[in-house]
Amino acid sequence: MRHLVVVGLALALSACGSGGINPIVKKGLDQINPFKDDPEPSSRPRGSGLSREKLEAQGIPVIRASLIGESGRNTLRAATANSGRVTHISQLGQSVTLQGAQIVATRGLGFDLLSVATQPFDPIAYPRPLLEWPVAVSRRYELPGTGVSGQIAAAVCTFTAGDASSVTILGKQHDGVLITESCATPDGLDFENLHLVEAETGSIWRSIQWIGPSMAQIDIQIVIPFVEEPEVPEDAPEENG
Amino acid sequence: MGGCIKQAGIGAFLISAAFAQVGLAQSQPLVGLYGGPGLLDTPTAEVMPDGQLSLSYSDAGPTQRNALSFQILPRVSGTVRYSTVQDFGAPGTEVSDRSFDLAFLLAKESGWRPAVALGFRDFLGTSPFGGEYLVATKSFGDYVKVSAGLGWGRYGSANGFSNIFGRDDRPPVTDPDGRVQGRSFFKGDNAAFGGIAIKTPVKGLSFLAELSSDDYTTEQAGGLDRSSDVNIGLAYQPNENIQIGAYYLHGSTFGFQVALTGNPMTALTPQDLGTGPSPVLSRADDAPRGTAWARKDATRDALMSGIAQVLATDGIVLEEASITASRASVAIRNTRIWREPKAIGRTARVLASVMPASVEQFDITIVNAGLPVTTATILRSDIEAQVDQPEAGAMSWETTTLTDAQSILNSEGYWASEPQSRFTWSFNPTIPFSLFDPDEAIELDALLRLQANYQVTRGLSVSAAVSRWVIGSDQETTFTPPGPLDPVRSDSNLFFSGKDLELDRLTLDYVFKVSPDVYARASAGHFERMYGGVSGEVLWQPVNQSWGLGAELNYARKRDFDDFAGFADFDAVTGHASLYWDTGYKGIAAQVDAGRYLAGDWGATFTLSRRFANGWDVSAYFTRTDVSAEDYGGGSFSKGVSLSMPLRWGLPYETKSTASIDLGSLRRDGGARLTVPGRLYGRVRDLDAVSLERNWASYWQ
Repeated sequence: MRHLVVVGLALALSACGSGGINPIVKKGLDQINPFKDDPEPSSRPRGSGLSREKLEAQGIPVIRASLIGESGRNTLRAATANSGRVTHISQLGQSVTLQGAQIVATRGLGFDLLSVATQPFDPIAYPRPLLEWPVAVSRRYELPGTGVSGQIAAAVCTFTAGDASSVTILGKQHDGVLITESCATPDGLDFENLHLVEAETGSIWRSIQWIGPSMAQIDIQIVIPFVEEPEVPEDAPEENG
Repeated sequence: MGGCIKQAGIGAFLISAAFAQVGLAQSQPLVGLYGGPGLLDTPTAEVMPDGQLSLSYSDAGPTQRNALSFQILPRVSGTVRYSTVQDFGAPGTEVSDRSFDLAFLLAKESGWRPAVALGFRDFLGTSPFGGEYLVATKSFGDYVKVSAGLGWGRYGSANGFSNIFGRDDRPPVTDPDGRVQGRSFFKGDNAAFGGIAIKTPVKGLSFLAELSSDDYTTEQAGGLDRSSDVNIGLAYQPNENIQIGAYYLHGSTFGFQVALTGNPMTALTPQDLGTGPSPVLSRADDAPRGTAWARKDATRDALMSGIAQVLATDGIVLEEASITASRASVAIRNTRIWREPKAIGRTARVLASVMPASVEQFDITIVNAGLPVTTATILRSDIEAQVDQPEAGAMSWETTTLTDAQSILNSEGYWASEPQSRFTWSFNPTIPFSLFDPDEAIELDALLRLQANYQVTRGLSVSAAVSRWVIGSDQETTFTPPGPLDPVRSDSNLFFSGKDLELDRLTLDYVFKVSPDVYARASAGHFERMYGGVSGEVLWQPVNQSWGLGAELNYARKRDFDDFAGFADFDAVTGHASLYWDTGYKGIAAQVDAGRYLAGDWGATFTLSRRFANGWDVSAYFTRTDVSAEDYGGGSFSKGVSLSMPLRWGLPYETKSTASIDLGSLRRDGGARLTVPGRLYGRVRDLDAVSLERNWASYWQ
């Protein structure tokens, strides 16, 4: 409530000028402004109208995501893939970047997760059968802060297998095992992630992850996964037509 | 109200809000009655978190204290305090006193060793509360903290004993006042003090008890009943940012205290809520890299217009560009994004996404307030290799080259935007913040201020501002000079009282670059409510250098307080040579301005500031001139503390607006400087290499 008062008064007192304001804030203000110039047609619930068939036909990797405590889910479509890091973008321009199922960056959600460095054998970033998972992995989280790299949180994470479970994502059921990931940093930042892992392949279909000390955890569902195209060896024989 | 307020604004509100952040679960040191870490009257060796600001008010018997305390560095804290004491020295005698404290943490608590601090209270001026101390604080478990110390001055006035250094004579306060009372330090009787803070089972509630070594001699002369050396109290901290206390002092007096603390490094609102940056898709190895497009004006114009539209959504104005087949040079004006590297990064991303594959180099020049300041040269292949990768911030800083911007871009492939937004305006209701005004208690008031700017060309602009008090006091029309100097500032109430619409500014300003690292400004008109005239300035500040030099010469003429735009008879020639130095250590910067002031006095102003990466700025300054302390009046010389806060810190969207308050000494005539809006250093200071590096982590945001 206090923050609302602060923000509301601050808006009222400072936003009066020839400059524009953040589109998300503008959208929020439009929601409560009965005199807005261009009323939009009544919006549908987020996610309604989505169908797996449509998404699969488009052939674009898609995830659904929400912050814990937020109602509804946002659909984010892949826009770029750079060295296996796939950036998914929402309609409002907010983005979540994944390496495998590991969230390695967020933008525009509140406090950005700048970047995450993972180890080559990190099973969240590089799927592998559950039986081949290491006991622990290390990750380096870069968070907003002073300097060229911001604030660094170096975490060591261990995995604990739980019960079998399943999730249905846009009409498709995925079965797996719940894996709890317990992470700790030398500075006392302790947090937990939760993953639904397909035991045979190591594919993760749903994951609840920490994205920084000032943010709620984010809950992602992989609707259409990113599949890296295999590199064609330069000396591969050309196929005959 | 408002006569002594130099600048105030929404900052009063947001700065107050800053002290009411939701706290973390950690234990926060208690704020003493003097504003710094302490129990009641006695200090402790605890320190606040680095950068912590504390605002406190205490009222105990005849004494009221307003204090602003700042953890200047991890081991250094400072407090500026305004105290009022009734019946001081004699019944019916009231004194008001501004005082400054400094405390140094000599040793942190470790194992069996206590924390140890050395402090100087009220070490300037008449020093009615002056004293020095050495104190140690030790924690016992999570619930008990014990402090013990030895004090001099007021700290040695009760139950004192012979000076341990053999210097039993403490000289009286120097006359005139306002100076560091160094010759008194650690002299005269010394006395022991100490106390204990015990956390009670009630969460956040602590019981305090102390043995005070302050005799309150002067207050007793006025009738204060000091029948006990023991003070007791309760302090309640519902979270680490609020403290409420109730006390029983001297065996006779009840008192209370409210303290709000907050940290500039902890923003009130999410700082990255909004749209993310444009995604960057690397060029395919086999992407066509033809260059014919660069020879077609229509293609270039279409590209630049499209890029301008995309950048505009982030408040970045693409002013002009020079495009060749291999290089895109753009000049941008960042109107909204607080952290400049973020604006550079967003521009680079858009260029990398849109420009034809043959373009490999981006030269991004930031134009600020009409001046092209810094050019960031970024290779596209570096962006493609670094984007989304770990440690991309550090890598991009290594591969980006910063240079002093040229005045104009290369004419080859030149493109300029249509002038669409030459006119800007803002309307700011202002809530005055007058913590240290001795003439006024806190009262409700508001100032309405309308500002406008028209950019005739890139460097030439017209600026105007008018304001009006909503409530305010009656217009004052008479004034008695306090001393022999020309009344250049002491009559400021004539200009700041009343409720008429006042012209705060009407200037024509021209800024330009003499060479890539030399800037110049010429201004004419009404600079401030009290003065108009003409002003010229030059600044040498290479982008990759941590220090710069400037010079300014002004002809100032006093305005007529009773005439909206007219002038009075008084005029003055003033000017300063300035040295600016960003130390690179924790955002600490130093500035020296030496020259001639409005009253014709010669001297220098020394300013030390700490500028946080998120834009918070806490500064302390003092001015010494050839005006004698007697001629200057109370305080001997000009000094004060100022606070500047980016509104971005408290708002959930990008804005470059700031709010400032100045907790300075009274407006006197000695050491009074002309206020010229838009000085050059303020236009370039956030765009040198040191400042950009401080915020470079935002480059990929």
